[in-house]
Amino acid sequence: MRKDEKSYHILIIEDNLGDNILIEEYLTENILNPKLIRADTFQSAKVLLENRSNTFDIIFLDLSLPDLSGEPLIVGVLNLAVDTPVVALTGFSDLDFSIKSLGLGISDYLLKDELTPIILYKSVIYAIQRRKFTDQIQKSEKRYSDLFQLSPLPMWVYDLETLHFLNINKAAISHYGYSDEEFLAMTILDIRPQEDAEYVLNLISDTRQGHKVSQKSVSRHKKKNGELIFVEVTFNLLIFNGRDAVMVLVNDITERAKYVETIEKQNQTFREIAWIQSHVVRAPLARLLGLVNLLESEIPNVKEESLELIQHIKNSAFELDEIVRDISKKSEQIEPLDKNEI
Amino acid sequence: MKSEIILVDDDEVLLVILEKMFQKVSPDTKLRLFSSGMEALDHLANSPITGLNRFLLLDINLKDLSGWDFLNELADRNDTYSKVILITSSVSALNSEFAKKYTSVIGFFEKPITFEKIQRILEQIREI
Repeated sequence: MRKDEKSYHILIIEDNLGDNILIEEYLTENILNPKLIRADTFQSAKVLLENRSNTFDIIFLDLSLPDLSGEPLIVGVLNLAVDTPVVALTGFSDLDFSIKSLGLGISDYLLKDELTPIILYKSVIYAIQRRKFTDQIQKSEKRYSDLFQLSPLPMWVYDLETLHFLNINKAAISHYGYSDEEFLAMTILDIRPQEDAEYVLNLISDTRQGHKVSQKSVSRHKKKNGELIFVEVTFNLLIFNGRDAVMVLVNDITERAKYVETIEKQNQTFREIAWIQSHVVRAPLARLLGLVNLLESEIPNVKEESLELIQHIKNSAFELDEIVRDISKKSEQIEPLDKNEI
Repeated sequence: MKSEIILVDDDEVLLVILEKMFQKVSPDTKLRLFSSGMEALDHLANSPITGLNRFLLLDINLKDLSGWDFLNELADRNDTYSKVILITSSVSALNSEFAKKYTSVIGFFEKPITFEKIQRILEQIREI
């Protein structure tokens, strides 16, 4: 059989010289050139593992060493090993404990009495490959977790049934003022003004029954300091730790709403001015125009120069009338803002 | 035909102008002048219904009640004999649209009321 030519850095923590030699022999049967380093106590292993210049692809660990054994040994080595897979070497008497040790984070366990070159080799390959694979998953999970945690917009996940917050990102914590723990102890109703509770519950009930609910809405939220904010909320349903949950993305539009309100107020004033132009200013003007019209009818009785003056008054009044009409027309073009478009 | 026209406008000067204009154009027309919408309504309520139409020139923006309130009151009274020509100093197009809702309204004129408009008002009244 062709030997594996990759260079494996292997740490063997084992105090029994005979077992040590056996493992070495078995390993070299399938691996061309394994870099083997031995430690016969926990302390010496610790020194090796704490030295940053040493990197290992895999660690074989005898579960009973002169200075430490059992669970404390496993925990100690796992802490030092960080990401390196640890395979336990054990006798029949320790079988139950070996199985339990998998739960502590051991990659695999091998019974010394059943050790063969091929089992040992398989264990090395398997542990290393599996570690690479779980590393990838962890990195991927971290990437998604970062997307959630580092989002500049507040986000959270809540339980669709209990309405409790399940996960909250940093932006939400800094924006709303509640700590992570405080959030986790609250339901989504706690960040709503009380009078909105019924509306929220109706919406949730529709969502639970699978009714199509608009996935974007504008709501009022309450910060820890009691300040009310207007937010645009986007949400999606998801399964979170096996629970039906809702993920929410929040965009605070309070400033925008204030801005719109100011514009609305100004427009209202404009419309009032328009009304004054159209009705109030024009009333005396219309009267003036009527008077001029009446004066003209008296023409046979008025002198030539007075007639010229009447004509001037008439022209001025018409000019003013045109101006009022222009202003009135322009101000009528101010339309109320469509809030949905903002 | 001798007709009576009731003028309702809170602008006293305008009432004088209208009175003079009617006198020139149609000296036979009897005029009744009211600067208060309430008084005009009282007058209508107290004058016996003769089966003949009564014509009103009504300003939309009265101080005591709006022209619309005036029209609503006429509708509430089931007064089908009072025919109203609205006059307004407003240049807003909305008013004339709104006025179409009232069956009692037979005309709509924008101020200033000129001799020419008075002729048209009289024509409109003759047609009814």
